[in-house]
Amino acid sequence: MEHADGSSLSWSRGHRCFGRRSLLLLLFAGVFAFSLWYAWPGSLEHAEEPGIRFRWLRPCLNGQRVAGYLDDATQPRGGSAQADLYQANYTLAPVLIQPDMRCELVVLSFASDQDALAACRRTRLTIVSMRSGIGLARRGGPSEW
Amino acid sequence: MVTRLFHAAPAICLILHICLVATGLLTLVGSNIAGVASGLLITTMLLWSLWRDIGDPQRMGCMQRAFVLWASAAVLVGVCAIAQYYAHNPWGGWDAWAMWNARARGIFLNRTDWLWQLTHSMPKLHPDYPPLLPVAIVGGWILAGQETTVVPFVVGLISYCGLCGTMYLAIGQFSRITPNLRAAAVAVFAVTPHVVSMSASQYADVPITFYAFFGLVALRIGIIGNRRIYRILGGTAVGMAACTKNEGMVMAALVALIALYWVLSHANDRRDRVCCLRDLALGMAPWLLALWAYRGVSLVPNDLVANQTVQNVFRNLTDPSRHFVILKYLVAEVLCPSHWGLCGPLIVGCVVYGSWVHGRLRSKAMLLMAIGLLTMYYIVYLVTPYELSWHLNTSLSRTMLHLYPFAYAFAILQFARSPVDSTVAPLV
Repeated sequence: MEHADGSSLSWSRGHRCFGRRSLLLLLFAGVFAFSLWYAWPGSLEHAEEPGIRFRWLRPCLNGQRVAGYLDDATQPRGGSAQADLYQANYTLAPVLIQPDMRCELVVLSFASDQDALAACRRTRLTIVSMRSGIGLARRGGPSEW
Repeated sequence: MVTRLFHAAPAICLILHICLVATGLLTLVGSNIAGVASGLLITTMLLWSLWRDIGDPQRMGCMQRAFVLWASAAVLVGVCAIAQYYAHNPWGGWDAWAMWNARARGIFLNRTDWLWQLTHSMPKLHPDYPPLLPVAIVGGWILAGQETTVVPFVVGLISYCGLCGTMYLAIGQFSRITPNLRAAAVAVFAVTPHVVSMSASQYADVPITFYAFFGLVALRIGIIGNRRIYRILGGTAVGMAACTKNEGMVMAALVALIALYWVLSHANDRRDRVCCLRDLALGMAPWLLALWAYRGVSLVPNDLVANQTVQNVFRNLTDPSRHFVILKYLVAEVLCPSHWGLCGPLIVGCVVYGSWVHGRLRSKAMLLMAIGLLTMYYIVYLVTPYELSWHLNTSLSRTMLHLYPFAYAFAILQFARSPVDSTVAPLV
């Protein structure tokens, strides 16, 4: 049944309040509740590696030292294909890191020491020092590793 | 007041984006003070014009008020979710820190040689993408006086609010629909999980979707409702979409074509047509010129077309297995509850219902946008030089976000009481 203003149709005789539009709104309320379950604060998908915290690092532009970030070499999309010079540019550094540039690379990695070191070597950079998020702290050039 | 805010929100959000971009760009090409002053002046002028254009709010019934409050609460939940995500991931998602924010940082820290920095960055940073979003972030950092993660977060938040406001505007303006259903539809849209999570991730996909969606809606209000400020803002939004990512150029072309059709079919006389086209060009031209200039400087080809051969493209287009894989991923994506909730089936249901009850589909502009974008992405996936499943896994959900508001609005508009597509409701 249509209301006088043409706005609603009754669901059945004697139940004018539960019209087609009410059903529609009920449907929207259901979809809303379902979406809310996923979109509720705290329910969103978080970063792939919850423990990793990046830091924005202000690099020195004198070519002597570029502080940066190297991705975790054990991540599925990291590894040998990407943990190279490109990864070094994920440092958010404002200069292109050149293969012959001496730099300090800050590694925030949950990879093993060996993996982290291997990833650093793949950058083809002359690394003079390195810090790692897993507590690894070494000073000196690659020859010491 | 709340409904007035809903009406004004998308335009205000776009104006804030313009302020950030103008401040960033003008500072980079001129001096700091001139850039900031020009950005703020442009913002003030646009806000003033907009506020004068929006009428007084109508009185609402108790029920209607409750529904509007529901929509507002839903947007608030989205905002809280984005803020909560930011508290745990201030650098956003992968593409944000690896591409958008990285490029912004490159410009900000190397302002004397920012253009070289942009065009010569490593391929992974996508130097072929136009730099509108990084420049907007730089504008925010200049205004804030420091490099802070708050700016990309705020850009995402503004885009989210703008997208929700545009949905409210679109459903009300494109056809006659009951206010309660309109508010309920906006509430559902506002808590769509992927819309919220992409906004929180600080990806460029939410701003570009907002620009294209607002561009279409604003141009309709501007051309059919004869409101000049909306014609200019609509043109601006379309130009900004073209300057954000490569796919934005297709979005801009589609919206411009639809706007052209509206101008030719709804303008009263030749003078009206010239006025509409002039305002549209006024909004779009600066962005398209900037894009053209950037393309002239950046000689890096798009990664999807580089190293492609005609034989390779033809072989991919005619490979049935690729079609099958793409369709399989598409169905899985539409039904993915953690991305779209139940909105995928809802859209399909609404369209079936609308065509069954009315016998014809309403709002062809929204349909054209959704189908046009879907077709474009389908072809892109068919011919992609990357491994197909990897490309689908890493980008399909984001490309679906680009067409989601159009498809959702199109579905909701099937419940319109009458096919009044040639008029525009007052902005109150």
